[in-house]
Amino acid sequence: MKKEIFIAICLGLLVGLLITFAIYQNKFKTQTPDDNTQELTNNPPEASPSNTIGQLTLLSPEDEIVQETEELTVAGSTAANSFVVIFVNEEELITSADELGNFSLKIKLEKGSNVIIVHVLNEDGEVTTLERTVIYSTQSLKPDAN
Amino acid sequence: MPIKLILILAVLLVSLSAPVVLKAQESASPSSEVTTQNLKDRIEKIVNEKKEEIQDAVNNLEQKKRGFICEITRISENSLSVKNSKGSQILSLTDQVEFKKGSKIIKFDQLEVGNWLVVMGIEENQVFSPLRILVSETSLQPTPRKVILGTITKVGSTSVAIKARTGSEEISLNLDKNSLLEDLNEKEISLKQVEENTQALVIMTDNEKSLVRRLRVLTSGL
Repeated sequence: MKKEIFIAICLGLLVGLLITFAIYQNKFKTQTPDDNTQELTNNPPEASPSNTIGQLTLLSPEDEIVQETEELTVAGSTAANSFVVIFVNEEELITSADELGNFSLKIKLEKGSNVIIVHVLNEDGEVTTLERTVIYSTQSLKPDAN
Repeated sequence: MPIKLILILAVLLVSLSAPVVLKAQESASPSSEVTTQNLKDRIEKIVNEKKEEIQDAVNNLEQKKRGFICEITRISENSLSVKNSKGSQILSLTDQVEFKKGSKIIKFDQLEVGNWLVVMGIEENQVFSPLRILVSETSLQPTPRKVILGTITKVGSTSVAIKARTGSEEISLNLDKNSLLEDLNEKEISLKQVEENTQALVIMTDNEKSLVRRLRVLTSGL
């Protein structure tokens, strides 16, 4: 008698647990895609390998972009207190990285093409360079918009 | 025997009731059903309102504007062979592409080898389609320049010599009327104020002229 009751309890618990597990599993599956989407959209864009060379990481601007605004931020990171020289077409701008190695400078673009070359010089005078091309155009690219 | 059966059924019922209770907790009461429905309606309304914006954003994600500069190396019937500092490529052109030289719209057959182009277009699924091309007869590549950090070893009337921190060789640099000399605070100074054995950051042309574009003396106290 006791043995049969024990088996019945075990069976009942097992069936109950299986159903509970199935319900939770189903619930988890329906929640997962939303959670992932949120995580992806909240993640800041990471610097791609081509954004980094030696001690220089250029976070902005992206290469070969077309933008409609005149102002642009050139930002990145390098060794602390390095000199940063930015060429924007024929113009030269000199700044330096902060104690954490970060630098950021707002520049004004010329209409048309802007070749931006960022040079960083560390204490030993070693130079690392990255180049970007940014096109500044206020006109729409769509042919029917002209 | 019936007692046994009743006991087994009772235990099974108790066990099965756990998920049922759980489900019951999840299933909404009439009032919460109304709230949920209201919420759904509101979300649907907002989504409908923002549908166009979302669609535009999705299109923008799929279609990325891209632009670059290049020089024409060869002209074919419906394509251009071009090169720039990143390499060479062939641009396939359609009738949609607009060519502009200054403010004038020009035709494809007016292009010449050696012309420089600002190519703007859309990139979709890693395929680039040019839409507007600005044409220039002169190079769009800026003057090659380099930057040196070092010690000034010699100051002449139209030249300075600098020993770079990266090497032991002395580099002779020429000065002209456009060479900008400045102190640590970006204040313009004269050549007389540039002293030997001071540290300087020099921007110079990277060609046989070795012309100083900008020389910033880094030692303060000028």
